[in-house]
This record gives sequence, structure tokens and C-alpha cells, in this order.
Amino acid sequence: MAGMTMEEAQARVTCRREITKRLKEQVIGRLMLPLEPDEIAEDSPLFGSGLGLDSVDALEIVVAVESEFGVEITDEDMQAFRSINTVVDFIEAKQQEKQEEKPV
Amino acid sequence: MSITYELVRNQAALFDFSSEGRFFIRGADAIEAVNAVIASDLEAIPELKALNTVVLDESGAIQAIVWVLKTEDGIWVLCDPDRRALLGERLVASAMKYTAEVDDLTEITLCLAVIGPAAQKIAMAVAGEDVIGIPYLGFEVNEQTDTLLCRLGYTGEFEFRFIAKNERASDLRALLLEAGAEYGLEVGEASDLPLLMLEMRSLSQREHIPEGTSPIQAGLHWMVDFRKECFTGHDAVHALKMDPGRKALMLQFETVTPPVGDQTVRIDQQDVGRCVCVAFSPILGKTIALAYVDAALAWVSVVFDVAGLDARAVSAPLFITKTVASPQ
Repeated sequence: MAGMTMEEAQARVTCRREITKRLKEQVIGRLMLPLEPDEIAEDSPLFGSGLGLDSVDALEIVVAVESEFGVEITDEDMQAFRSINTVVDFIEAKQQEKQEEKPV
Repeated sequence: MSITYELVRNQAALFDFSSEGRFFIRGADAIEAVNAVIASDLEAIPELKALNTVVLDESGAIQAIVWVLKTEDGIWVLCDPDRRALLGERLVASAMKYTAEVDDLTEITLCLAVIGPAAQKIAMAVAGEDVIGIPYLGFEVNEQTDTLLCRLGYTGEFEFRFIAKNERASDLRALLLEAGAEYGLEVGEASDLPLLMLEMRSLSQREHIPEGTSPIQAGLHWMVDFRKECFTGHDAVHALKMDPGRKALMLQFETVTPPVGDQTVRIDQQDVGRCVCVAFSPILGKTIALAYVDAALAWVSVVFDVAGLDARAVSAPLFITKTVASPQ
């Protein structure tokens, strides 16, 4: 049988939902967007169409992610900032890296 | 990889979108008449800007995905060919309540589009250097080509649309092909566009959105202005935010070969969704799918079972296009 078990899937959803919620709240708060979290689709483009953000907004999101999630963001990492989902992917990957760096 | 896919992702292809619906709404209340039909707020954008939005029914289901272009003289509304009749009816009915008139210009105008990372250079060659200043969702009346020149698009690449009177058809086509020759411009197949759109998580209404689907279920929240107080489907859309039922989700398979047969999405042998489109993405070298999945499980990184294959929910857009990575 392919795929996760229901238990594994629900655990994954819980983790993902929590980070997504925190990120959306940060984006809305920092940029003072007239939106509620459930009014932003996770795959909506952050720039251009979609949320229509600009490069100044991008810097605000960087600051928000660094302070809220305790991760460092380089210029190269900015490519991850395309949608809420791609930013959450980035945060999860950074958190995983940190976890693996911890001494056993 | 099809020739059209290769051209759009690496050079540019020319498409004839003339069969799409093109309406022009004029009159003192043109903005109000269009605004009463769409889910975004036309009042909120300046002239020479475009909106990508939806026309909904009372249940909040998408009736048409439209481009709305705001000019000093009136409003252009563009739609898929199969939505033309329905959209025309909605616009005319709305216009009758205001001081506005609707002209269906589909039969007397044409629309040619150049799409690809080289599209901007080709547009500049035929329409002048100022083209570089047209932002995404911007447009201008271009005197050099005698067209309405719009920068829109769903593929993540540059897309310039030239809307002109029919009598300009052969000249304009020849002009674009001649200017595009050095960039490899060739005529593209419109049937390849849904895959190019899906890779960017743009949805083709015909290919990716089953009838009765709301923008919330399709993940097209940004096509709705949630602060707008009145539009058809307003209450339904707000209710669906809380409980959408199923949500669209991008899936990625590790295999090149698409799953055969049943397209049901499962977890632990329970049916939790269904793929509406499965295709091979040449850039990723993997099969991708768009599925509508129970909202409680429709989250990235969950791995589903589709026809016995692992199908991982992934974030979109699926990759960074050449246009975005290094605009030429």
C-alpha cells in the first residue's frame, strides 16, 4: 500500500497547519493586510497577481520569518519566497537542519 | 517534451486567442456595471491596470475566470471561449441597471499572444522600447502596432497580448513572427497551455476546475475581494472559508509514468479525494497532478496513495521560471 497511514498524515497536517497559521498571522500583521488567515490560499503567489506584494513587503516577510521562527535567511534563500507554502517548506527545512545540528 | 512546451519555457511561442470572449463596457456607470458582476473590486485599481478575477453564481461556484482591464474610456472583460455567452448575459443584465452599454467585440477583434522568456524582447521589437515599462497586469494603447498591448499571463513566463481590429490580423501576425524569428518564435499549440499553467498552479477552468467549484476550493482566494460588500456568491464564499469541504492540491509522483486507471486519492485505503488532471512535467521530470482532497487532509507534505503509487502533496509554484529567475 502506498502513501502514509491516516495517523501519519494527521500528524503531518497538525505540524504544517501550525506553522502555516503562525506565518499567515505574521504576514498579515507586519504588512497590515486587510485579510484574515483563511482568506489567503497557501499556494497563492505572494507577488504579481495573488497577494500583489512588492520587494519592500518581501523584506518585511524576511524579518517576520527570522524573528518568529528563529531562522536565518540569506539572499539566495529569497527564491523560496513565492507562496505561503514555499515559505513554510523553507522554515521546515531550516528547522530540520537545526535539529540535526544539535549534539546527541 | 512538446515543441510548444519547449518554446514557452525557453524561448517564446505565438498563440491566437481570438476565439476568447472580448467585451467592452462603456458609459458613465461602466465601472459599477462590471463591478456588480465580478468578485474583485474594480474601484480599487487605477486605470491601465488589469484584474484577474471570477464571476460567481449564488452558490459561490465559479462561472467564469476573467481578465478585467480598466481604461479611461471603458472596461474590457476577457474570458474563455466557452464562457462568452454566459458572461455576455451577465454583463448585459448588469448594464441594464446602470448607465452603461456592453459591446461584444469578439467577432471584430483578434488577440495574438507571445509567451515565453523572450516575449518581452519580441514585444519591444514590434511595439517599441517602452514595452519594458509595462508591469505585470499592466497594458497600454500601443500606437506603433495599433493594438491594445497587455502584459498578463498564467505560465510564469512573459506574456504579451496584442488586441486589435480584425483587419490587422495578417499584418500583426507577420510582424510578430518576423521580429521573433531570431528568438526562435513559432506558432504554439494552445492545448499545451494547461500543463504550463498547472506547473505554476494557475488553473484552466475547463481542464482543472470541475463545475460547481468555488474559488475557495480551487485555492483562488486572491481572485476575490473579501472586503467587498456586495457581489453574487458573497455569502456562500464567506461560508466556504470556514468549511470548504474539498480543496485543490498539487501532487507529485516519483515516477515518470502517470498512474494508470483509478484516479482516486486515498489514505489508509479510505477515499479522500480525486485527481482531475494528471500530466508529466518535463522540467521536473516527474508526473504531477491536481487533486481535490478533503480539506482536513489537503496539506503539503502529506503522502497519498493514487493507484498504488506514492503521491506527495507539494507546494506551488513547482519551480522558478526563466522569466522570474533572470528576466531577459
